[in-house]
Amino acid sequence: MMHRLIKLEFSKLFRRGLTYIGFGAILLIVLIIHAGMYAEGRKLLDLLMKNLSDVFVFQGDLINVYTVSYIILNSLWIHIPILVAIVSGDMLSGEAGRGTFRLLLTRPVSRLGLVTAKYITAQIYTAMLVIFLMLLSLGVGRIFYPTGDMIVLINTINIFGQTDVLWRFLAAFAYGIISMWVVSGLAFLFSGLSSSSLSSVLSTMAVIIVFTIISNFSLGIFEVIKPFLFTTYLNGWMLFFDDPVNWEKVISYAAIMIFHITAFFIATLVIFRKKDITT
Amino acid sequence: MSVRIFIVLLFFPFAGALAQPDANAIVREILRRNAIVKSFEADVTIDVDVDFIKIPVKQGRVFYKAPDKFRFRAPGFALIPKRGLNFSVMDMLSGPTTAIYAGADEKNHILKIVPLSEKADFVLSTFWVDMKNSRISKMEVNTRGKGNFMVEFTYGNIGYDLPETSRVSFDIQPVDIPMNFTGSFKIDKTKANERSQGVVFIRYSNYKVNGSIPDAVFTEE
Repeated sequence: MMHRLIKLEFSKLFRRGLTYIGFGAILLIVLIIHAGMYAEGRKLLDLLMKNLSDVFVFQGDLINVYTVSYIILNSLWIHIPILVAIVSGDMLSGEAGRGTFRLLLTRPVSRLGLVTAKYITAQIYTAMLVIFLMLLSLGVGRIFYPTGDMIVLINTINIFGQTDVLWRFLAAFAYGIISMWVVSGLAFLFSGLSSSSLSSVLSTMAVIIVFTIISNFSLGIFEVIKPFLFTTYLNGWMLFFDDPVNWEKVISYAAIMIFHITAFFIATLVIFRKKDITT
Repeated sequence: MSVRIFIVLLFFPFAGALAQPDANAIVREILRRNAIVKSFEADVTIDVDVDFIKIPVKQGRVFYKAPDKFRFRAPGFALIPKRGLNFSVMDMLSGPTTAIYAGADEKNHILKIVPLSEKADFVLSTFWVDMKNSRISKMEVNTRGKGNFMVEFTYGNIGYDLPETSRVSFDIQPVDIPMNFTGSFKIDKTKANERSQGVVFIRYSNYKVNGSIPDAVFTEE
């Protein structure tokens, strides 16, 4: 039954133009960054390595598919939540807005089943978006650039050998999926609270923006609040590009996010089960 | 008797000076022995230790052809120290310089090398030269505005004055990256303009000396 419901949700999802906005935006941004890096990447790296060039001769090229993919990830990670929220924020409120809920719930489907199917669909879509980003940045990047060692700046200049890079990307994207599930879960929660897709998307973005600003402040009072904000953990994918990887931190961050994903789902379920369906 | 003692004391310093080795002759001997090496290739391991750079140990092969052709081949990216490679040292000695004998320790002559050209990129360098083999054991260089560096060499038994290991230590200024671009690079602002120390350890093996190396090796992409 659940399988059929999810399949049905997917067919509905991919019939809407809204669903393709995320994929289109990612495609466009990735292509623009690839083209920009292809034209100007070397200048950027020269700037970065200026001080080191007094002491070292550089052998080999750091402008390669991995370095560029990392830059894409860094630039795009702020924007992916918007794309995720557009679809997840529409999952329940969209039905309410279109007035299809009453019709839908006349079918022999429990509210629990319906919300679960929609939640799973939203999360699969979110995962697809992140995987699309991965395939595009690494796959399309491979057309423009060779593979090679990657340079990353996290506290220090880390240069990773090319055999040490791919697993970091896979792990970072896996973490990225979990962190975007949190955003998707939040958008889904707002979607359950509202009957307007726009308001649930905007509410999600408002929460993320406010929390992100607080997460990035290093003032005393904010330091106390930070651990309780999920935005503090969203960019934890960067932990995989530190050397050595702080696994303890990765696991605790992932656990906190999984807690959020579950909590958002349960909250949505509780709200939706008690909700008067008037449209 | 007292007149004899006076005469001995008067000439003693000059006697010492007369017995002092000729610094320029030592330099000429170093250059002569190095000139025997027209070309070489060797496997190289480069280990960079700079507190704000993490880079894996690189293995590759180095090619050299006199007077100044150099190539390092390795998969991926490598940081190769600009100074302290054997031929760059010889470049320094073979330029217009004057050598001053500055003393000796247990095993080495100590020479001060002063450049005569204003264009030289160093102000003063100190060389420790092995008394037995006329090989450079250690050198310390004060550059023009680019900090100081020191190189320590050890030698194997290959029959040429080519090092088995070089340890290059140098001053390096932490990076001032205007970048929020490839990650979060946190620089301690109090140390932003301070130079810190870096060390590169180079190990050479499988030398092939004075063999034929095609010029294409030095020009290929």
